Order: sequence, then C-alpha cells, then structure tokens
Amino acid sequence: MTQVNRLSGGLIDRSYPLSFSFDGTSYSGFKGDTLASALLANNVKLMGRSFKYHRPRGVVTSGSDEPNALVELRSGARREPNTRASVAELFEGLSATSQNRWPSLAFDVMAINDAFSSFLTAGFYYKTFMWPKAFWEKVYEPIIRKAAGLGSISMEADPDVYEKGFLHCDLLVIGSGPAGLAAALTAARAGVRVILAEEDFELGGRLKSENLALNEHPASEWLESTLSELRNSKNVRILSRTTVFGAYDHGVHGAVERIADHLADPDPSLPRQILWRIYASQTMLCAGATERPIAFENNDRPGILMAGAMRDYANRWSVTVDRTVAVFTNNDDGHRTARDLMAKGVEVKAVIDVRDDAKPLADYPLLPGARVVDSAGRLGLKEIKVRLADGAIRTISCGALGVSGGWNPAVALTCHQRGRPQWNEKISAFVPGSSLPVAMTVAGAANGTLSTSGALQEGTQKTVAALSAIGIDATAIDTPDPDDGPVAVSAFWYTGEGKGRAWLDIQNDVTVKDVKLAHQEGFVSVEHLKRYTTLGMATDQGKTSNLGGLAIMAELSGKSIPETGTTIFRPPYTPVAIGALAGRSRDEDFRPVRRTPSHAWAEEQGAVFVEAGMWLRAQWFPRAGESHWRQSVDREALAVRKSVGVCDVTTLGKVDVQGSDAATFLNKVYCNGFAKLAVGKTRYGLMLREDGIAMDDGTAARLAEDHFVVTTTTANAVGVYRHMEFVRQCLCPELDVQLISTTEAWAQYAVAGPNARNLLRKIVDPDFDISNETFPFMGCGKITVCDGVRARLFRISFSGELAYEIAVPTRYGDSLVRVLMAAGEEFDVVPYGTEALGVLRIEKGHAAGNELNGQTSATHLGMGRMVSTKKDSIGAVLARREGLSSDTGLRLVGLEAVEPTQNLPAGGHLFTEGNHHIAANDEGWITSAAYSPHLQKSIALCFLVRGSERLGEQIEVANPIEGTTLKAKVVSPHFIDPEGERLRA
Amino acid sequence: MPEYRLSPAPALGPGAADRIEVGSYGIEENISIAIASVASRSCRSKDVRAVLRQILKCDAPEAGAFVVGGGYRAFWTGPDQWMMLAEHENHELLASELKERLGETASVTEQNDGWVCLDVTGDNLPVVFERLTVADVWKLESGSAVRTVIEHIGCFLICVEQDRHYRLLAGRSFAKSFHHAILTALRSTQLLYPDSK
Repeated sequence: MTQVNRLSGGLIDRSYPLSFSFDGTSYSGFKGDTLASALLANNVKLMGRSFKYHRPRGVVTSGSDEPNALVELRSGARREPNTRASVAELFEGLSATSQNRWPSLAFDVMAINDAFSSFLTAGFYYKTFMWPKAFWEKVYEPIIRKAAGLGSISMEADPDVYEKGFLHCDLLVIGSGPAGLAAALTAARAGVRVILAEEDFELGGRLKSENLALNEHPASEWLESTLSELRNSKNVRILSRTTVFGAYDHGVHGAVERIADHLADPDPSLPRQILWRIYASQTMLCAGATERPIAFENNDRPGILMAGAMRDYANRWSVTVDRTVAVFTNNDDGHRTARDLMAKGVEVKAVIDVRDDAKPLADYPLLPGARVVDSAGRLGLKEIKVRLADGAIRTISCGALGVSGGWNPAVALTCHQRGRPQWNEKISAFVPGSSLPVAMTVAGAANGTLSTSGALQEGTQKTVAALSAIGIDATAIDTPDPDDGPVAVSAFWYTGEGKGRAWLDIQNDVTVKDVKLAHQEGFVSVEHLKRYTTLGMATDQGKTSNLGGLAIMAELSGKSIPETGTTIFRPPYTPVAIGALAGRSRDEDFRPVRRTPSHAWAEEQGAVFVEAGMWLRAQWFPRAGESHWRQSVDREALAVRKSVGVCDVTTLGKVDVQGSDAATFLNKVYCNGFAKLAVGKTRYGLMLREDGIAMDDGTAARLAEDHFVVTTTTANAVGVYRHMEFVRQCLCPELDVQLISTTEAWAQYAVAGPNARNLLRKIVDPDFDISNETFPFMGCGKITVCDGVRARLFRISFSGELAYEIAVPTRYGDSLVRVLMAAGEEFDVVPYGTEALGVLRIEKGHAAGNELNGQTSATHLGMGRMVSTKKDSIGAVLARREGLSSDTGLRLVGLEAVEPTQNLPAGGHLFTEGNHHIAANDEGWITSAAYSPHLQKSIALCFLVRGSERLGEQIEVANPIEGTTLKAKVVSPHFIDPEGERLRA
Repeated sequence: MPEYRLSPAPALGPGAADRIEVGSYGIEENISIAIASVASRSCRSKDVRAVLRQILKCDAPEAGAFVVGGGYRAFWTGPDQWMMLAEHENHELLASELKERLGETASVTEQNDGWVCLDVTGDNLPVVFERLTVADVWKLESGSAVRTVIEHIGCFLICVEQDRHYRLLAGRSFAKSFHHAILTALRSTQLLYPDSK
C-alpha cells in the first residue's frame, strides 16, 4: 500500500500524482509535496546518516533549517549533494539517493564509529594522531579527509546555466507569512514598488501550516484574497522559491531564485537559478522563526522531529509521520500539534509538558511536569521513556515524537552587518538588536512576536513607518482577527538524565556531553565552543542547535545566556550554489574578450592567440611545415629585418589630448619635454609615478597646436588614462585640456622592415609624400589611403627597423590588413605576432612592461637624462632620490649567452662570477629574454648593478627554480643597429 | 583607378548577421551612426551650449538625458561633455563639422568607430535588461541615457522608447562579447517568459 501516512485535506494537488524514487525504490506523491513529505507519506522515516557517527536519521523540520534529511538529488553531472529533502520540491521522476553510508542506508558499515564514540568526542582530532609525526600528512589527514563530508559531488562540469540580475524596489519584504503579507499589502496599496521574496514555493508562511481562523473564516480565505490582490498589483513583484541569503551595505540584498530546480526536464538553456542583487530603499524582514528542540538521551532517532514541523506536515501536506505519536513540549505550541493531529485521526499517545500547570487544548493524555528522558528504535522510533512529575518512569510506544522547545526568531539577516541580537526573557530567545542594517525593519515572529495577530499588526504598522521614512504616505490595512494567542514558553533546554548522548547539533553530531567537555577544557567562549565542538558549523549553520548549546554553556559557566552571547551570523543564510555565484561567468564566457580589427583575418591565417589583458592578440602565424612556435617566430622576426612585416598594434592605448593647454599638460605628465614639439612630429615619452618610479612609456604625436594623440602600452591603457584624468581633474584643474580615449576608434598596424615605405607607397594616395625627406623618422600626419580613406601615419619604430604605424577608422581595419598583405606580396610581406614583436624589441633594446614593472626608475632604464630639470613634471623630484638615481644602482643592459646552445631564463638572477648565490650577492635580474634569430643566440635584457660600466664582463645567471646556472656576457642593450641608422633610413 | 580599395566591416565582424530575432525581441548592430565627442574648453560652457542649441534645436542634454533634434542626437557624458550622433551616410565627418561650428570653444574628437552600437527592440525589455545591468531600467524613461556596466563591459544604455527600444554603445573591440551577452539574456528571458509580448 502506498502513502499509508497520507491524511485528508492539505494543500497538495491530489489530481496530480507524481512518481519518484529514493535509493532505487519507487514511490508516489502529489504535486505540492516536498521530497520529505512524500517520503513520510510513504512511511519512509530513515532518510540519512549523521556526519560523524553515521547514526540513522530522519527529517527533523519542514523547512530550510533542516539538519538531517540531506540527500543527493538527480544523477550524473546534475547530481547535487546535501540537498534538504524538506525543501526539495517533488517533481515527476525525481531521483534521490541517501548519502554518507555504505553499503546501504539501513546497514551502514561506518556506523561502527558510533561504537567508538568515546574516542571521537569534541576536539578529538586535536588530541589524537599526534604521533608518529610523519604520519599526519600522509596517513591521518588523508583518511580523515576521506571520511569527512556528507554527499559527494559528481566531479563533472555543472551542465546547468545560471544567471544574475539586479532589482530595485522601494520596499523589499522578506518572507510571506502573516507579517510579510500584511507588509506587502500595505505597501502595495500605497503604490510603491514592492518585492515580496519567499523561499518556499508556496506563499503564506505558517498560515499554510496552521489550522487557524481569521475573522472566523479559514486562514486560507484571507491568504487567497491577499495573494490575489498582490498578484494583480502591477507595483508588486512576487518572487517565490527565492531565498534572501544576505543583507549587505546600503540596502543591497543577495537573493537566489530557483527557476528550474523543481522541473523534471528543464530546457538546457533555462537558467537553473538566478542570483539577484536587490536594491531596496526599505526592507521589512518577516522571516519568521525556527523551532528549537529539547535535548534528551537518544533524541536523534528517525521519527523524532519538531512539533511545528509535525503540524506542518499534517496541515499542509496531509501527512503524519506515524499513526501513533506523542508530543514533548515546554510551551503552548506543542499542544496545537497534538490537537491538529488528533483532529485528523492520528492517535496522540501523550503530550509531555515540562510545565506543571500545562493545560490541554483537546482530549489527549497530558503529562504535566514530565519530561522525555530516552527513546528506543534502531532505524525508527519505537518508544519513549518519560519521567513523570512524581518521579516514576513510563514507557510509551509511539512511532513519532514532536518536540517543541520554543521558537527562535530568524535574526540572521539583522546581524549580517555585525549587528548583535538581544535576549528576550519572555520568549527565552534572541530577538533583533538595536543595530539593524540601515533601512531594515523587523516584524512578526522574526521580531519575537509569536502570535498571528501580533505579526499581522506589526507587518502593516511597521511598514507604514518604514515608508514614512522615505517620504511615502501609507495607511495601515485592516488586519483580520485570528483565533490564536501568544505562546507561553517555559525555558527548558535539556533533560539531563541518563548516561547516553543527548544531541544538540544533529548534523554535526554534537552532544550535550561535548559542550560540557569544551567547558571542562576551557573552551568557554562561544566562538571557541563552536570551533572546538563544531557546533553550528554544518550546512544548516546550527539553526536548530546553536541556542541549546549556548544555554548549556551558560549554565555550566554560571552566566546568563545573553552574557554568554552568540556567534557571528554571516551570509549566506542558507547554502548558495557556487554556480549561482558565478552566473554566466564560466568557461568561454568567464570574461569578455576584446578582439582586434584583424581578428577575423588572423583566424583565417590560423594564428595562435594570446590573452593580453582582455585582448586576444595574434601571438604568431604558423605556416605549413612549422611544428614548433620558435620556427614561426624566428621566421617572422627575420622576415621583418629582411623585408617587411605587418603587426596589429590597435591594442596600444590611444588618448586624444586637446585644449589650449594640451602641451603644458603633457609637459606635466611626461618627465621629458613636450612644449616645443613641432606639429607633425612624434616624441617618445616616459611617464613617472609621483614617487619617481617609471609608470609607462609611449609616444605623443602633435597633430595640431592644441591637439595630441598619446599612445600607451596595451597593459596600461586604462591605468594611464585614469592617471591622466586624475592629473587633469585634481592636480591641474586650471589647465584647459580635455581627454578622451580613442583606442578603439582607429585600427592601427605597424608596418616594419626595409621595404615598409615601399609597401605603404602602394596604398597611400599620391597626394601624400612619405619619402624620408618629407616624412622623416618621428614624423606624423593625416593622410588618405586607397583612394580617399582617412588615415593617420606615424613614423615610429618598436622593432628598430624602418617602420610606420598606420591608422584607419576601425571599420576599415579588416580590409586594411588584407590590402597590406596583397600589396606586400611582391616584398614577401609577413604578418607577425606578439612573440616576434617581443623578439624584435629585445634585439633593439626597447623597454616594455617587463622593464616598467613598478620597481624601476628612469635612471635604471638608462633614461635618467630624459627627466628634465628645466620644468616640473610628476615624479621628477622623487626620481632624483639617491636610491633611484645612484651611479652605482641598477642599469638596463643586454646579456648574451656564452654557450650558444643555452637559453637565458627570464627571471634569472645575476651574480658576479664566483660569488655565492645568496640574496646578499644578488646583483639584478633578467627582465626579458629571447632567442635572436638575427644573432642566432639567446639574448636578454636585464637590470644589473652598475650594468653600464660592466660591458664585456662575464657573469653568472642563476635559475634556482630549475637549479641551473649559466654564464652570460654583459653587452649593450641595443643588439642591433645601436646607431639607429635603420629606423632613419 | 587605385589598385587597392578598403571596404568597411561592421563591429561584429565581416559577415555578421544584420538582425537576430528571439521571439518578440530583436537585436541588430546599428552601423549607420556617426559619433563625435564634444567637451567644452575652460570657461566656454555657455558658448558651447549656445552652438549645440542651434544644432540640436533644443538645449544640450543634462546628466542622464538623451535628446533628438535637428537631425542629430546627443547624450550627456560628463560635466560639459556630450556625445553627438548623426547619420553616418551624411555625416561621416561629423567631428570636423562640429569642430568647424564650435571652433575654439570645444574639443571635438571623432568617435565613429570607437563604439559598437546595438539596437534592442521588443516588448517589456526591462525584463531583459534587469538581467544585465545594475541600472534601474524600469525607471528609465524615453530620452534617458546612463553609463553602466554589462557583463564587465562599460557601456552607455540609451532609452529610445521606454520598454520597447534601447540603444547600447560599448567599446568596439568588445562587440562580439557584448552582443553575445545581450543575445544570451534575450534567449534566457524568452525561455523564462515565453508568453510575454
């Protein structure tokens, strides 16, 4: 017989049966069920094993606070471990398996741990595994790590897609119980933008769980009419299946909306979850409360659960955990469970109330002044032992026990910005403190108001006040009158009888004894208690267990609970999938890519690309027969030196500088002079930081008296622009200068090599003379190419060859590279990538990012004389500090490998021959290294102490990473054409 | 007749689809726009605004605004700074045209090809853009322009027609990634709200 524990009524859709499986066995349930409610309906109480002792465990709650019923959901790559059965929405074909057991849930070999529990107490791993010392890393730790954890991940890539989004509202209402609904309705009627977020898939909070009347009508009627009004309000956005997991600065909240978790066969492109960042002017926290247990010996057996959850299963899901039940309580709420279950035909064997003056709500056996002291039943509860008020022991056979130790307001979100909750003696619980996050208001059970009437009143009245704070007039709604009243609670944390274990944190297997041991060993602070015992450190973050542990510690240390305090509440409130945090930023979409104008063409050529910041740049262009990158790079570099090559240099930053003070401004940001640069000329410039360290280099071309185009290195394009804007706006606001980036407006190609001019002459329109006489080295100008297309030409060279950089509007960039290749055929033109570019500039001795690494000065770079003393410029004064300008300091020089077959390693450290390779003798390092096909040897640029005085000296290059040392000769950094004849040709 | 000619390519690359439709949504690259940035020179704000008023037939837009007038469009980019737009076919030299009229009162920079311009159309588009930008798109009225970030890419979001037509400008080199991000959001939204018009 299926669903033997299904009762009448409830909010499930009996016309919509669903089949599902758990550990390979098929069951049936209904739409509206959770996995837990459906399993209980089928009389499955054993749902998991505990973390440490592998004790049999069943579901304890009916919500997101569930510590026990954790399962693995789905299979294959979509397998999700540690899913709470209590919130997993049932769907057709759902497949779940139990976890942390072998070979089966009913018979788990690792349950032997339970027999050794006296050796596995709190902090056991701090006391054991101490010797032999060498065993820790190789034996003990791997075994412990293998044994730890609950579910297992699939080790496959997550096939689901996730999304992120941003929402704005005047009022965010968190929770859709009575307080939340009253708040949302109040705000909705005021016409403000409202977001109502509810973690459940059904709205209503405890209104769904209680057999309650509002205005003498079933609560469901008010619930339906309220939801109907909210759904029809265009200013209200209802987010069900959405957990607000964190409250951050300035009214920002993190929330996860589960879109496809409940779908049997979702479209693969449908986001599984959406991570929302919600910006709220005001927030009403109506997150309800969590029921807490009472600890007694063997209180962890399947079938023992919260009394409120038991009532929830009966009223909402029409499920009883067993046909015979008992209730153990210290408050009125437990009696409601007994009353409701009785009304549905379940046999209530007894209500055990610790209060001597307890009053029954219905005709069930009441045991006032009694307490449960033990239970029995290996895989499910069979009986409980009760110490009666007169001291006698009575054994009561029952298949389920509902426990209610009172309610803890859900204060977590009030504490995410270091707020501390306050102790409320009346309900024996922590309630929100005075230091709430900005613009947050708390109402209902979350505020410690544990009655429906109070929640409704607070929900509407506090919303009126919250909206008033942002200048919005709202009117309180007429709240219905419920037939419940405040809950009277008598604090009672544990029974304290028996020698067995009474469980507090039933996910992490923390017992009352563990807390006592922590106290005995001096771990009295709550933060120490938490870490020593692992209390509250499981996936449920101790929602049901923390307060019990604190109460016992308070008792042991002779302090009050508020004096003992709580640990810090941190986001997320419930676990958030890493996939949701990543959103779409994964795999090829991890981050955006910037493509050069020649990208499509380069792909056609089979180019190998390299990431340079966000740019994808062609690194080299392999040709048929080339099996190693060096072959391609050597060929490209040689071809440039021999004839001509083309390289896409669009990625270099371009900053348009205009204004009547443009030259003065550049004089300020560059250490060398720009005021006298003639129109039509380009100049190399070095930019220093305020502290005198070299920041970036580039060129500035003067297109008009009041117009320059500055180039930066690719990597520093953004940083330099930001620096220039800082100088403009903050340091020199008096200057008339305007800046804007034009990096992407122009496609720019370097055309380098002895035939560069010959190639360009084929595409430059005849009106423009680019001969050496009219367009000499460092010239620049506006020209047209290919019959009238506007272009800019710069006679600058990074390679040391006769070279130009030609820029056209970017839309012509793809076409230009094709034209250059076609026009250059007669010169055997080659495209060259960043590797060859690097080889060429190292051969020429040009500094780049490796040399401008934030440690070096103009003097180190051999450019000390560029720092003008005739003007003030940023960094000039501090660049003259002794450490940055000393004659005995570092200098940029070249190195050649003494042994031609050896490669100089970039990063290698430099030592005088014969010196020990220790830090004290370190004399510098190699910044850039390459094989020079032109020189047919390994060469490098390096910073060497007094380098410029040591040309010809043989030194040692240490490569401690690979444990090698080789010899190198110090040479000029200009390996080719030191006189610069080629580039001026 | 010159031997070599250059042909323009869209920012999305040669051969990119003109328009992609996703349910009721559409996205296409707008290649017909000429762009120039205008920044007032020191103490010349009034002069620049006077000239812009002549050009736009209305006041130069203030912060967060986008205006259309006189065959031009403009949006605010900073204090005394604007981006001017016009039809590329007739105004390829927009920057030069503006500079001629503004003279020494302003710095003008050609931006024609610095940006990829995407037009996104459809109904209830804030549902799409709330997945992309932190800007409060539900409050953006026609004639608004905001600078924002979409999938790590800085961009301008212009509300041409509230709920139905938005124009996005992002750095041209990001074109494919940017287009991919928007298109993915359109497809995702279509799946989430298949019945939305």
